[in-house]
Amino acid sequence: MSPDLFQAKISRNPKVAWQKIEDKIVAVHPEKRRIHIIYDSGVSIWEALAKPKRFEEIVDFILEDYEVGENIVNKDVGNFLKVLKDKELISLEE
Amino acid sequence: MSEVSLEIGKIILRIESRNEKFIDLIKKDYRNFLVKNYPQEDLNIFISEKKLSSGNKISVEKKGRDFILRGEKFRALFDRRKRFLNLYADCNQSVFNTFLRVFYSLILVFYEGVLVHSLGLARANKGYLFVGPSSSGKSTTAKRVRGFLVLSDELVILRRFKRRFYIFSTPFGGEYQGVRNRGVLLEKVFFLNGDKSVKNEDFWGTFLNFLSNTFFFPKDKECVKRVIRFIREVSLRFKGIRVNVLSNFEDVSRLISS
Repeated sequence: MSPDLFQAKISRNPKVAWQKIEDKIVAVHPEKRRIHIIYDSGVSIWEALAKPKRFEEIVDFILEDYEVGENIVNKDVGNFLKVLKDKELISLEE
Repeated sequence: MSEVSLEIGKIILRIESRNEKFIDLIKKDYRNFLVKNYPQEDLNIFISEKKLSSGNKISVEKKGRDFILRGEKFRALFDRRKRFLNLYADCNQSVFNTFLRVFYSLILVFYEGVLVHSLGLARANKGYLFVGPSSSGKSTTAKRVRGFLVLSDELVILRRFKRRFYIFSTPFGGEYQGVRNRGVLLEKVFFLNGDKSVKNEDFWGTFLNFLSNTFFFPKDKECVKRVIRFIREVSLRFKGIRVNVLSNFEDVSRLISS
């Protein structure tokens, strides 16, 4: 069973090739041969993952930059990380 | 031992094998890409005949400093530093052509280039690239255009030399036969789509169209990063135009000429 997103240490999948182009992130999973473009606040979340972090650390990182309520950030970051996990752009560790 | 040298996309390949008949077949099939009297080859390929099981998917993986290429009835080990590749394959023209496409998808990464799913046309030393997947009209256009040299109706080599981008003929064609070996300066880029309207793409439209139509197999992260960087640079220089060549052929001719 994979670790829980809200408890685990979250890191970028080391297999993924990515590059910041203008204000977006272009990420390619070489094995899946899929191209992903990350926009807006997703870029901040991706940048927050420069070092592995837990969910609440990512939320804190985002709250520093965005004037939004914590509940909204919790929800948005959670949804976005689920998408990244489904696309295997991030890995989770206990 | 028999050998032949080919120049494809300004890269010289020296190919050797004990199977003289197969080398003769290569000389015949790739006659427009043969070279003689060159100062030094860029890459060496040694072909060993080997019956391999079918059903292998195409893959390119990095193992240590080597790359392992696999496909239907071929397997190859490429030592990049020695610029030497050992190919084990059925000595069959179709197997060799598939191998060569896959090999080029890898080596172009190191020669500032990519293989693009496209139709390449040349006229007066200027190149026009029509980028698109299968059934988007590349071969149909290749057969219909007059006054242009067809570089390929399936896979065209796009390379950068200093700050300029060039497109090159390849022996990786679709339905169009009789491609001659040429390289020309890239002048315009078109993206083939089903929409009848003509639309100018911005940087991102150009970037994504190029990236999704790049013929590429290596699973290595560094290779993918190089491709992304290269496509970014092309997309900064050229903004593609979306066209439907099947329904707007006259418009395409006009766009090229404008």
